[in-house]
This record gives sequence, structure tokens and C-alpha cells, in this order.
Amino acid sequence: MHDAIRLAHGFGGRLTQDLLDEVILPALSGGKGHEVTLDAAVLSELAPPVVVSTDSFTVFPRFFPGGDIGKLAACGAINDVAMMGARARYLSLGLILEEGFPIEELRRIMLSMGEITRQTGVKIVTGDTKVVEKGAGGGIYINTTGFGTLLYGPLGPDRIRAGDYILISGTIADHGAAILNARENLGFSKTLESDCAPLWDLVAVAADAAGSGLHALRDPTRGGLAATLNEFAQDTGLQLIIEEASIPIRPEVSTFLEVLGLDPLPLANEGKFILFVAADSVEATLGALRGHPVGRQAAVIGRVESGGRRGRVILETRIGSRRTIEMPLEDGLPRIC
Amino acid sequence: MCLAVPLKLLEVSPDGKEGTVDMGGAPFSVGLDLVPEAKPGDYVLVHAGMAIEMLDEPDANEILKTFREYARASDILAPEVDGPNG
Amino acid sequence: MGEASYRSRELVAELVNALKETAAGLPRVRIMHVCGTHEHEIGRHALRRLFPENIKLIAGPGCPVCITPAATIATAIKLATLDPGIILCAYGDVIRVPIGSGSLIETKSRGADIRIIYGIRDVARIARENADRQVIFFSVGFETTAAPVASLIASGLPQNLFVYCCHRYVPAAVETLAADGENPMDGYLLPGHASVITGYGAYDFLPARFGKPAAVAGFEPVDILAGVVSIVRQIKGKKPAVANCYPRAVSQRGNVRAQETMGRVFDRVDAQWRGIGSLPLTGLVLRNDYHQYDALAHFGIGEEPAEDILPGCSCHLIMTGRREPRDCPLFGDPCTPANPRGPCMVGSEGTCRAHYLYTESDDA
Repeated sequence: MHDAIRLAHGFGGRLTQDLLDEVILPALSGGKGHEVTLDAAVLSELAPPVVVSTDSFTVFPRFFPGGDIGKLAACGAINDVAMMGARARYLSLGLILEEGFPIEELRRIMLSMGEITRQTGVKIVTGDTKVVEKGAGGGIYINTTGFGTLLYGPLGPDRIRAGDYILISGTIADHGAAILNARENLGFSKTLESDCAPLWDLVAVAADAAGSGLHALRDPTRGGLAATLNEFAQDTGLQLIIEEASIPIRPEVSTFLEVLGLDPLPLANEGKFILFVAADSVEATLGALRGHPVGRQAAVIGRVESGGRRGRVILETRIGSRRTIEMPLEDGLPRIC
Repeated sequence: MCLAVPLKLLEVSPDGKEGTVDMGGAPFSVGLDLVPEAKPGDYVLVHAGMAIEMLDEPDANEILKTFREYARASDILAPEVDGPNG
Repeated sequence: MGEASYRSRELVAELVNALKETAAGLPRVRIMHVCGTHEHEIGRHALRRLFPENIKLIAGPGCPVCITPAATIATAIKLATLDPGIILCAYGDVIRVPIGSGSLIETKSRGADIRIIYGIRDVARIARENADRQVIFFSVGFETTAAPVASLIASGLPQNLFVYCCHRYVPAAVETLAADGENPMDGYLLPGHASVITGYGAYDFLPARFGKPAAVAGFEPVDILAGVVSIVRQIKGKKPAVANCYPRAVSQRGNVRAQETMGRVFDRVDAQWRGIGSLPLTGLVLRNDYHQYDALAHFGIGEEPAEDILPGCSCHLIMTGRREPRDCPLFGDPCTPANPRGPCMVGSEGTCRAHYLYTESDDA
């Protein structure tokens, strides 16, 4: 364990997981073990069951093709709640602003958030704003907490079984590629766009079609598909097999990443989710996803097996070989070699 | 070491020093100093933002045919696809 | 484009069959490649899993970021911090390389203006956009990169742009490796894109002087397999040559214009490879005509000393094919990409990192 927080602790990969497993969760539990980490929690003592999830956002650049930090924060909380099978109804909003942050930028960011809430019917009902001195860095930090009512489920890693299939709702790495291009000023296509979007409608369509065959959902944000799949593998102790040739990716994103020598699997997705579905519900679920305007690229990308390398994620490469997909460690930076 | 990718040249600047390649549907500007003979329609190998060579990109069928023949003929030492430089 | 074909499962299977047929009955065959991109692609596609048992493909010192001496990184850090106004431009993979005292990325997090660039021309653009500041281009890489850099320098740099180069020349390194009787290889898989520049003729010494078979290979799975098949066929037929298995890009003479430009801008000198030592005539330094662009000369500083290999690290053995990553006592614990002890675990094409990230599944 390191002595001090490093940037890599925030990437959603191996170091983030270590920090949770070795420091935060045990300490919160009074030093005696900890529970499985989920995207959101069901508050079962509140009736009807309320789902809550919290998330904090600090992204650079703040404005990028396809969205901004405001849209990201609103969709993030809505989607975390959706991954539990709950429709978000209310959001809380916490803002920490650095002295000197341009008010016009703040206005634009709040307009973005407002647009998403109106689009989804979610209400921001409580919030807080603090200002820190100039030099603290970061400009703006947004925390959103989403509250929703449980409509589907229960969903979660403990419902996943060997024999389940793994689906994804659309193309991968769109957000990660757009951010990388914008952040590093690499001068590649301005049309690389984030896929940032609220997901409840698509979740509902899939859940209706799958019925009790829907076992778990998660949106592969920080750390991408690589992190999310590894989290599920570890939580379930099962082996996940992913077919490389089945993973949908836009040609523009794929070429961009090939040119930079980067793997799409650890890159963030902000408008996609993976589904664990019982075998006999796959066809219906896939059909429902593909029948929806934003789910046209949905695909079956893998399956769950017992035996084999427990708790690992295996990639069947398109050339017919196999390797593991590891928990990602850090953001990719462009390579020359 | 050599991360380089074959991309199709779409346009060449009037002085021939820069060009636009097709990056999966999006345009990207590359330097053409090392491939002065490259013209629109050619495939170039792009490394670190510069084209380092022109390529002969056969179509999918030719690729399959060439490498398959190479695999099956146990006495030949290289797949026979002619490059632009022979 | 043809990309799908070069990764076609059925074509790969045919080539794997061809390899198995040719390799049958041969004793253990050790083939060295000298290209970090080859190692990366081999790992990514899990190619070694498809090889017959007796064919061993060994990673040589092919990752230019890994072989950049620690002293060079230390000097780049010094350049970046000489003055708050300086902008240092470098490629993404080199800024993470750790030396005992830190790394460029740590230096960046402490406030130095270090910018990651993808392309050579981005550097000139940054220099033009910041005309009132001094910009230093820290350029590493083999001849694939040195050629575009030479082209940039030859066309004249903005007056606020200086270059700190650490380029290495592969054919000369391979020549020294081939002469090493202690660790003999049975054949060499040659780097596809570096050979685009030099031409495959630059490797004629392998069969001619050392009697070793060689094949130039591209980077798709089909290309790499084709190269390995060629080498094993050459061993079987006992007729070593330099086979061009990447004819769509590589020629015998190479890119003559690129060679001429490099020859105008650079001289070749003996140079250090991290952990390996000095390899003759493998370093490229600016010629006198271009001395005014040299960053060390302009800023009047010398190279900073630094330790190449930290205690316990086996990178120098791994990079010359004398040890496998898994046989390093530090591999995986404590040495991981998150906590690297040597360059091989950091460079995105470092041998140890490629092995760590692309752990091949043991199941059928």
C-alpha cells in the first residue's frame, strides 16, 4: 500500500480497488471486513424500497464533444441508480467551486444538468455550494446523489449464474476516446464524441423483455469494460469469457485507438451498460435493446462459466487464441512504440 | 518498435508536404516529406503523425490467397505480394 | 481495408499448421525479435499460445523507451525544470519511465510544463504557439521515429525549439547481439517498420556473417506468423537468408529519402542501452550543421548521471533474452506496472509489462 494518494488511485482500476479493499471499507466497518461493492444500495427499510447512489465528478476538460461535466454528473447518478433496476426520481447536488472559476462556465454546466433532468423527469431537490480558495485546484467538483424507486430486480452479482450470457447495450470506449483526444490535444477528429446519456429508458426496455432472466447490470465507466468485468468476476468467483470479435466499437474509435496503440477495454463508457442475462432470456433482451434507437448496436459479448480460472476474465481473441483481461492500472497515454 | 498504421490518403496539399488521411471515417493531417510521390488514393504508413512509406494494400481476397498459398507451400520463404517498391 | 483478413481466424490457423509441420522434429528453436511493438502484438493476440512447444520467440531489446538510459531520463527531467518557462514535449510512453529519483510524469505533477505529444509536427506547432517560451523536444525511438524527426529538423526549426535526442539504430544493435556467442539465437524476427526505413538489406550480415536465418515481419497476427514460419523453414532447409515477409511495406533498399535525410542530420556513434551497456554505432547524434538545435549545447548543461538498473531488477537480462520475466524474483511482487522496479515493467511495450498485462490463459 502506498503512503499517499496517487492519481492512479482515482482511475477505477486496480489501485482504486485496493484502496477500497484495504483502507476505506475495513475502516468504515470498524476494522472487521467489508461488504461487496455495488453501484448503488437498496434502502430496504424504507418502503417502498428506495435506491440511492452517490458519485463525484472532476473531469478535464470540462467541456468535450458530446457533453460536459454537468451532463456527466446528472447522467452518472441517474445511471448508477438505474443499474440497480430503479428509476431515479430525485437528485441532490453538491458543488465545490474554486475561487476564480468563471461564472459563465458554471451557468453552462448547470444548464446541461438541467436539460438532462428535464429530459428524464428527475428533480434536483437539495444541494449545497462551497467555495475554496484559489489554488486548491480543479475548478469545479460536482457530487450528485440519486434517489429512485426499485422497479426491477433484485439485481446484483449474487444473482449471476454459470451459463448466463453477457450483453452490452452498444459500442465501447466512445467517452474515453473523446476525452483522451480533447484532453491531450492530440488533434484527432473533432467528431470523436462522448456517449454520455441517461440510460433508464433502455434499462426498462431490456428489463421488461428479460423478466426474471435479468440478473445484473452495470455501466462500465472509469476503468471501462476491463474494470467492470473484473469486478463481477471477483464478486461472483466465476470465470467470464469474452469474445473479442463480438465487442461492438465504432470504426472511428477503433482506428483512433490503433493509431495511438491503446486498448479500448479500459476506456470509460458513459452511456452504455452490460447485462448478465439467463440463457433463455437472451434473444428477447437483445431484440428489445436493438429495437430501441440507442440500443441498435447491442450485442452478446460473452458468457459466464463455472470452473476454469475462477474470478478471472478470459478474452477469446479474434484469431482463436485466449488471454486474460486484467484489471486496468492507469489511463492509457499515447504510444509511439 | 514501430507503432504505425496504414491509412488511406485523401488529399495532398499544393506543396506536397502535408496530406489528409482517412482515420476510420474522420480526416487526419499527416506530414508527407518522406513520401513525396504519394498521391490521393494511395495507402501510407503513418508513424507519429508522418507518413514513412507508401503501401500496396491488396484487397481482402488477395490477402487470403497470398498467405494461404504461402502457408501451404512448405518450401517458400516469404508470402509473395508485391509492394510498391518491389 | 484488409485488417480483418490479417486477423482472420482461418488464415491464422493455416499458418499455425504450417508452423507445426515445419517445426516437427526440430530441437528447440530460439528466435529473437527486437521490436517492442512485436512483443505487444504477440501478447495482445496471445500468439505464443498457438506455437508448437519447441519454438521459442524471445523478446530482445526492442522497446526504445526501455533501453533509454536512466541518465538520459534524468537529463530530460533536468531540462524540464531548468526554468519555469520551459516547455518539454515528449511521447506518452517515455514520460512514465521511472529512474531512481523520479520520472517525467512525476516532474509534471510537480508543476513542470511537460506536454505529451503524439506526432512530431505537434512539437513545431507548440513552439509556434508559444513563441515567447523555449520549447524542448525530448525525442526517443529507433529509426522509424528518427527519420521523421530528421525530416523535421532538416526543414528548419522555429528559433525557440531545441531537441534532446536519444535515438538508437537497430541493425547495428542486432549485429552486436548476433556476435554474442554466450547467448546464441537460431534466428531473428526483424522489425517491420524500422525496416521500412533501413530496408531489409541492412540485415544481410545475419546470414552472410553469422549464418543465421532472418525474416522481416509486419505486425498483424498473420504477418508475425508468416515471419516465424519463414525462419523455421530456413532452419529446416539449412539455407539462411533475410526473407521479406512484409513486402507490402518493406523493400530491399528501404526508404532512401528517409535515409538521406537521416544521414544529413545525424551522425552514428557508440551509445548506451539501459542495462546492456554500450553498443557500437547505435546512437544518433546531431551533426555539426544542426548543432544549434541541440538542447544540451544551447542550455549549457551536461548529462545527469543516474543508475540504470535498481537492485534485484533483471531488466538487463530480460532485454537480452537471458531471462524470462517470470523468472525475475521481483516479477509480480513487488514489481508490477503500478509499482515498477525497472523499465521493462513500465514501457507500454516493455517485455515484463506485456507479460503481466497479457497473462496467457492456461486453459485449453
